[in-house]
Amino acid sequence: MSKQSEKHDRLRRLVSWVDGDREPKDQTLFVMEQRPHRDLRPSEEEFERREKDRLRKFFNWYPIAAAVICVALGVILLATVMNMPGFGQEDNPINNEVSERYLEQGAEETGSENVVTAMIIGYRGFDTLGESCVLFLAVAAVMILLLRDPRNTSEHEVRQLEREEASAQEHADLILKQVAWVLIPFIFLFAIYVLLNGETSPGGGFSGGTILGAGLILFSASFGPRHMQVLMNRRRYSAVRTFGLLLYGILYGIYIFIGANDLPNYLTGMILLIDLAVGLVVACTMYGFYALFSRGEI
Amino acid sequence: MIHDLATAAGLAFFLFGLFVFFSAVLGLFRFDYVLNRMHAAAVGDSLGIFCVLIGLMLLHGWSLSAAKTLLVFVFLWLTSPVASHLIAEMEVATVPDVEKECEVEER
Repeated sequence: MSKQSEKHDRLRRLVSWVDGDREPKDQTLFVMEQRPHRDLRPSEEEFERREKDRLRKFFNWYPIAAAVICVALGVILLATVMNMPGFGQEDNPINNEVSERYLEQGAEETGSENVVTAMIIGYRGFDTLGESCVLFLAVAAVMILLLRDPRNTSEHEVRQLEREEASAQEHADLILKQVAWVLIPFIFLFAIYVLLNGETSPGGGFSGGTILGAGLILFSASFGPRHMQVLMNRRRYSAVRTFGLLLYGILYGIYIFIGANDLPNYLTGMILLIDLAVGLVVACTMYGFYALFSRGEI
Repeated sequence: MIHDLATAAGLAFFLFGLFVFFSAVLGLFRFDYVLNRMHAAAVGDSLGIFCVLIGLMLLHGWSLSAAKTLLVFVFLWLTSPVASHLIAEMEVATVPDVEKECEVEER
């Protein structure tokens, strides 16, 4: 084949792809459906008849296949459960020297009575730092995509948003407002309690931060974005979440530095602050997603 | 004697709560229109939570956990009807010919 005709072929494929007739076969990795070329397509009646036939066959086999898959899945899972070691046995494979060490010396080494917190903030603090970074970056990415500013919003969109806001204010729900007015202080109180009690009881940064974020979302949904500006505007939002991540990074960096240089262990006092930092990041992530997806601004 | 009575009452509450939840789920799946389904789910939810939690408190006896259960109960009774109310309001606000489906009270 000459070079000329190859080039021509490529051009033809490109044109048919632009027309929407077909996917370029060899340039796409996972193509769900290869539609035949427009000239080769069957007539409407033929197409409909084939489609009906296919559907009928599908619905004949669907219940049978579903039953078989369900039964097979059930059998596999039951067989697995039968082969699992009994719950709480001493010679189970998870009871090795690692968990022994966590349980016996966790409180002493990290200063946290709650072993779970000792593990996620102390022993595996790098992992949690990475998770916080993931949350931070997720909000940053959503901001890049959805945040409204004068450059990417037309006047028409602005007017539409204003109209929507006015109608939302007009139809503000009294029941929601009253209930939120009663509940929000308790939600914030509970969030702070869970945040500060991560050391000694179940809770900590992630759960406390989630409750805090839920409280913020409830406030924003019931009282509207204008009242929310008093509590949280864009500058404050960015400051809080950056402060959370920086606090975590600095504290854990200090901890790593001290540990590597054989200095005495100061993590005992840091667990609470690190929990607080994680909580701030998580709360900002929750609220940020809500605000950006619903209004495109914080 | 009183302990036995409390246990019996707790069991009765608990089983009645389970029955209410069952009928709520049945209504959720069997009714045709959104608001009917919503009504079944919301009303069944409130009564079911009430019966199950009261039954649990009677079975367990008075303690700190029972007090926490009471708080859970108060929280759910405050929030669950409001959530249903909001969904129903949204349905009425967004469906243009809702008068065809049910009566609408003008406010």
